[in-house]
Amino acid sequence: MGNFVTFENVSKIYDMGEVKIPALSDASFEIGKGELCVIVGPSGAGKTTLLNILGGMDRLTSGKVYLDGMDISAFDKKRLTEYRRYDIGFVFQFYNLIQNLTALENVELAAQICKNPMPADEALDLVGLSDRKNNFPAQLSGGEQQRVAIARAVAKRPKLLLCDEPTGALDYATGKAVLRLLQDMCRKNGVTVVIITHNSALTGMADRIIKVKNGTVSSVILNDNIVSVEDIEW
Amino acid sequence: MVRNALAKNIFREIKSSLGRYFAILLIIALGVGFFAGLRITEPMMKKTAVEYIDQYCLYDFRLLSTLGFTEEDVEAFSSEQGITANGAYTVDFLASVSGGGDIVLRAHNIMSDINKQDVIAGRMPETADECLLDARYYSSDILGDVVTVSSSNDIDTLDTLSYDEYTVVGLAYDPYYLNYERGTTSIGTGTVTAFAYIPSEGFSSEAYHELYLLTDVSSDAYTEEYDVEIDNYRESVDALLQERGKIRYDKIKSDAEAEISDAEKELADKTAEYENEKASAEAELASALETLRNGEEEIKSAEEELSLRKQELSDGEKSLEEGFVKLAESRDLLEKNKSDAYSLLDEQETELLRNKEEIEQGIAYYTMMGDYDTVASLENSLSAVNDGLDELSSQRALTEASFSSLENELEANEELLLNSQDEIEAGRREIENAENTIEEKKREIESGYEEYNSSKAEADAEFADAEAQIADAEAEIQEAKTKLSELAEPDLYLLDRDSNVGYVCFENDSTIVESVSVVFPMFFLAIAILVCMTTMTRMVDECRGQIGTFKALGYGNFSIQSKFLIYSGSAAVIGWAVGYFAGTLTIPRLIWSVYGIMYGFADIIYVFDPTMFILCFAAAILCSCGAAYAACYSVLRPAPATLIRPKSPKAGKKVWLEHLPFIWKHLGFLKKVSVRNIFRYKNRLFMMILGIGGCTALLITGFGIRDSIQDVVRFQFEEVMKFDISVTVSDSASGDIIGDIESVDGVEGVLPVYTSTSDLLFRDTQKSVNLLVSENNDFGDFVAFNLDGDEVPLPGKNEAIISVGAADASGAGVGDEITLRDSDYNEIKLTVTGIFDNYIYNYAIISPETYEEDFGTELKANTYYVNIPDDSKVRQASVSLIGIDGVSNVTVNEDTVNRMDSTMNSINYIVVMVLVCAGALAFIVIYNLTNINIEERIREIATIKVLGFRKGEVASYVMREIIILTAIGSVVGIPFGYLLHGFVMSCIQVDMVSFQNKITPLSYILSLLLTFVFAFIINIFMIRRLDKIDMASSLKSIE
Repeated sequence: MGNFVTFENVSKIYDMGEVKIPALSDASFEIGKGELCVIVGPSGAGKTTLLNILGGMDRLTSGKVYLDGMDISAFDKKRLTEYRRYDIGFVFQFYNLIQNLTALENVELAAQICKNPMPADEALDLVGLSDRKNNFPAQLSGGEQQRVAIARAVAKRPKLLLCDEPTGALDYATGKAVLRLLQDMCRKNGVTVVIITHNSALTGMADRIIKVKNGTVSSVILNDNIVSVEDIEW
Repeated sequence: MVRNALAKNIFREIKSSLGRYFAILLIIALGVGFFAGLRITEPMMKKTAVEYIDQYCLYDFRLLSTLGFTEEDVEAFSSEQGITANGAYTVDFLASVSGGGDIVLRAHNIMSDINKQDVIAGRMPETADECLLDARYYSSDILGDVVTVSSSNDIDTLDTLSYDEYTVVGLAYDPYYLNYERGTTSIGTGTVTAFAYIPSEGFSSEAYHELYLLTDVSSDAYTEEYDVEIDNYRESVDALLQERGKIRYDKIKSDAEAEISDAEKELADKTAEYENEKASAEAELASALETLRNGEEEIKSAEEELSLRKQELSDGEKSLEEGFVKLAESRDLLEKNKSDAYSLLDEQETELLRNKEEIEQGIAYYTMMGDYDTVASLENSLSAVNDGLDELSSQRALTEASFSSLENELEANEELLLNSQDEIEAGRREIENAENTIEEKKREIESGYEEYNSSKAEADAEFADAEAQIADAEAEIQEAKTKLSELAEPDLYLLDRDSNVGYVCFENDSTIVESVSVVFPMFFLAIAILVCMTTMTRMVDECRGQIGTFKALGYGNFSIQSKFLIYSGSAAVIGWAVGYFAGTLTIPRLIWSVYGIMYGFADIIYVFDPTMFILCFAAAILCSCGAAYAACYSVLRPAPATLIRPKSPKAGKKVWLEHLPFIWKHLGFLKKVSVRNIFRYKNRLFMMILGIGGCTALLITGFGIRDSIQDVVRFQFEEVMKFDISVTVSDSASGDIIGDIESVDGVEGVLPVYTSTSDLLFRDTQKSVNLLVSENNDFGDFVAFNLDGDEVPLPGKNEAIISVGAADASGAGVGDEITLRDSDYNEIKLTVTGIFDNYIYNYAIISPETYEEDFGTELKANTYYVNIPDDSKVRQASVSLIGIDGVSNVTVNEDTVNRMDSTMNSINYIVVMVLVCAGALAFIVIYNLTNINIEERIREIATIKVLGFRKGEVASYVMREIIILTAIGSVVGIPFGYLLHGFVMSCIQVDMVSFQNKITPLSYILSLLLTFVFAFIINIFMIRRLDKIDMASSLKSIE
């Protein structure tokens, strides 16, 4: 089940001149294709760093990262950009939509640069925002914005969907709706989804749970008891 | 402790955002620099002039009198409280410098206290035949050369100058001639070429031509205090002037009257003397004549007498002759008688003797014989004989006696005759003498007559002469009397500095600088404010979270504000200091060098204006800190919690362009983003357009200035004054000189013209123009009269066409009536029928008929325009032309072009300054705005990076906006550039040149191009910046 994503002894040290901050040391794990993986850990544990490296937004200091056979850690900047362009979909905690573009356009923004994108309308339909396509983010609620972000991410038909605290800014009900969506992406559309959260309650929905602590992977657990989002409470 | 951390915060903030810091610093520096630099230029210019004027003692008053001034006048003024007076000689004369053609020089005497010379080469003259020449028009090569006073000057001028030649020993500037103008004159070409200063002894004039006064007024020139203080003197000076004028008039009058009466007396005396002498001479002559006459009479009577005497004499001679003859006869007779007598006697004697002898013998014999009787008888006989002998002898004696008495008588007669002869001889001699004497006398009288005649003739001649002289003297006296009666009270003029061309022009020109200095800095000030506002707003926005935190920590508003105030304030202070000094040290110098075309008499003096220094400081602080404060204000009001939360981004809205679906649909969607972005931030949109527009406007102005100015000279001499050489001839040259000119090699076409300097009067204005009249209106090949490409027809009777510059300066237009006034103050009225393009100097053209009829004199050409199509022959031709008799000067237009070209080059510096300015403006504005743009949208940019936008795509995402804004801004800037250029050109109007407001299409293109180049350069920097954006840190969640 693993080997879709492989982290091999990955270390990330932030070098600020006099100070060296180790964000990740010797992190290793694997994720399988089509899995819904949840990465948990306390604040500052290194989760985001991990995600960033995986998402090609940051370079590691040492170690190797593979995605679907590609050695990402060996990519240069240019190649990383291509990587991000075609292979990764990102969902942020604070949505990061382009304020100037409508929901539809935000999705188009991502779709336009892909090789085989999902039509923007379809992506928005998928996330249930068919009638809000022409609204600007300011006119959308938090949840709707996040859904747009998700639509943007999935429209690219990425190999990997990375979500950094997707529900962090949302209330319980909205958060759940978003999670449901993510789950659907994974289960129904076969997208490999990685969710970072500090909320351990979310681990119930995951196929694989990766615990990160103090910059290392403290445990990788395959979930036997997968729970549907509806049943998760926090 | 607390403050320390805050301070550290501030420092680090500065360090970490040096770009922004410098943006504020630079814009303040630019704004302050320009404002201060431009505004201090006028005071600096003024101060330079004021110090110069002070140092070289420019006069306060200039007094003119048609009767001149005397040494006593000088003393009278000098003895007034606070006044120093110097007498001055001024004379315009034709001169040849270093053997060149005749030019007009204005000679002044070197005064001891006023209008001193600033000798920049050589030395002051030490002897009366040395001089200083005008440093503006001559270089130091001329030292040692000679200024020769031309013999074609009129007699009064030649008399006024003591020497024929003056050696140039120095070059000088003079406060009397601050600018390039030297004045107009009534000799030569009508314009004074340069001034010359000669020691007072180099002039011989009975009176001073002018009087200069220097007062103890201490206020600076050009100030109101000066005017007030001078006015205090004006009345008393004027009163004294009038008084001295009257004194002079009276004195001249009384002197003249005295002279006249002296002359009359002398004349009377002399006439009397003459009469006396004439009388005595005549008397002498008369007496001489009489004497001669008498002499003649005498001679006549003498001659008469003489002839009488001659007659007498000849009678006498005759009778003498007769007498002699008689005498001779008598003598003869006597002799005869005598001889007869004697012979008789002798015979008798002899006989007797014989007898005696015989007797004796006989005696003897008889004695012997003793015949005593016989003897006795004989003795008796003897005795008888002896008695007879005795008787004989007594007879003889008697005869002798009687003969001797006869002889004596005869002798007496003879003696008488001889006496008579002697007398006659004597008489003859006397007659001879008398004749001689008479002859002599005659000759004497002849020569006497000769003498007399010649004396008379001489005398007559002398009389005539004397009488003529008397008549002349009388006439002279009469003339003098008439003149005296005509002697008007003198026209007295009290002039102050406002009548000095250089002085007034300088004030006008420095005012021009001042007016320009108001507009430009305002522009920069506006930009500065905007830049500061947006920058500080941006900065405050960024620090929003920080501010919230500080507030939450319990820091007061002021502490928080202080960070921004110090940030912006410190940038502003440094910018202000740098800008102020950079600006005030460079800009005035630059402008001064441009004005060097007209002035250039000294290096500009630095003026530190504390008020402006402080003012700029205040403005800088206000701008920066004010912006900071304003930016803080809105941020400090909400609750800390609100601040800590990220600011909700500004809502997107539909832009107007979306309502045009046919455009909107076809826009690529990234372009849509750009369009929306542009209109989203109105502030920045406005600022960007303003900044870019300003940049383009400045570039257009800069290039436009160069266009307008640089080709002026070429246009003038290629399109307007098409001839190659201008030949000035002296008054004495005849019209035949045209033949000589035409025969010079290379000459194809000669146009005789009359030119003079006149004043064009229209309403209140008065403008100096060159009057140009051609004998046959055949200007065509020589001078072109066009306006914007259309030909302007030549004027008819009582009409005139004038140059554009003259029209603009006087306000006269087609159809208006203008007055032309020549240097003799004759005025003629003309209707303007046309205005023509012209760039250098100003002209008025009238027809020959108009000239002759209205000025009343025959038109005589004093200048000849010469066309030489073959350029290679021009130089040689000019040399040949100057050698022609009657030619007083030759000007080759090519030389003028070259001379003016080099002075025009200094304008290029202004252009460069403007361009640099524009570039700096563009840089700052674009850089700043782009910076802000990027910083505000860092998340956005990071997001699209994350989305996988390539480097180029990310770049164009941001740059597209910049390019579009640059395009819009520069297009907006074009009309502003046009207007700004027009404004600047109107401010820098120079009197002798009328710049044409011209901006070539190339300039527009260049300006736009450069604007884009600037934008492009900044873009490159920005792209680097974009590249460096770290996605991870930019998108950091706020945990």
